Amino acid sequence: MSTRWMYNSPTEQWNIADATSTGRQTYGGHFSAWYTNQEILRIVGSLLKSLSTVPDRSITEQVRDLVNVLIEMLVQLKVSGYEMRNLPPLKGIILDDGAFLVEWLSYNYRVGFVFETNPKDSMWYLVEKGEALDENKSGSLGNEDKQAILRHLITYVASNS
Amino acid sequence: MWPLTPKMTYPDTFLRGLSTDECVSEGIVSSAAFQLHFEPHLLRNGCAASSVGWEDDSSVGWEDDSSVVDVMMKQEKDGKPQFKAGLARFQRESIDRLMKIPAFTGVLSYDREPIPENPYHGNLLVSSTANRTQRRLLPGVIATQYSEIIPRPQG
Repeated sequence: MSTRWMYNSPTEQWNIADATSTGRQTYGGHFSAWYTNQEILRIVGSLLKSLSTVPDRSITEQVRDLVNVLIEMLVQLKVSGYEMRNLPPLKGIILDDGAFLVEWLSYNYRVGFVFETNPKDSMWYLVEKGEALDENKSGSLGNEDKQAILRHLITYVASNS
Repeated sequence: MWPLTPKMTYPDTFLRGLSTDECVSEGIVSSAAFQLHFEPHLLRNGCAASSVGWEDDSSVGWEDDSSVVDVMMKQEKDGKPQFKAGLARFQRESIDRLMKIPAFTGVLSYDREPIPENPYHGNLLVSSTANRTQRRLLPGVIATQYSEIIPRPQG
């Protein structure tokens, strides 16, 4: 059974799957859970801090759900040998109309999530610069398979960072 | 009347003032710099003007010549520099390309609107008929197209 690691975000405690045992079993080498913890905190820490100022409970719950799924995928990415320091940090901001925007920014692309009070109105998008503009992707976060969406987006970000 | 046809001539580039630190994240222009305001007083022929930064009274600056950078950097609000995070430069062709893709055809345009303090002033325009998805997508789609950030001069 994997040990559940806890760490303190600025506002929340999150469970992170213990990749240490998985790493040792699969790869036979030392795998620092603390180091993984810090890498993940670098990616989601700023977002969590911004989330603490969001007054809308529905939005905060949606973002937490997404971040929970994201963290477990990031751990899997680390276990697979990916260098996580290549991943940009997630940023969050409250928009003028009360929606919450989460972005993964790069010069040539951006991944965005817009969270609204009604989960059915929340959406995601992947935008690229230049000639790939007309192939931008977007979709609803409402009743969709968030794991599939995040897997696709993380794969894109990991491949292009 | 929509879509608007830009009858004036336009230079190849324009500038967008970055009013707050939130407009730039990790050295990259954030979608927050392009939030749309569909206020009645901004409607023009059924189009909403996209404000620069967070202010309703500032927009893009067309780079007809090199003076526009200085003009925009000197703009003030409440006695302080309006564009604290600098300016973002865009290629006009990136907006032209956006206007042609099916997802945004008939929804996006631009114009000139010279004002006394800024003869280069203009706007990016988004139709009030834009649906929810388009309104949510456009800030990020536009912001992604910037080519460089011009920081505020030191001192």
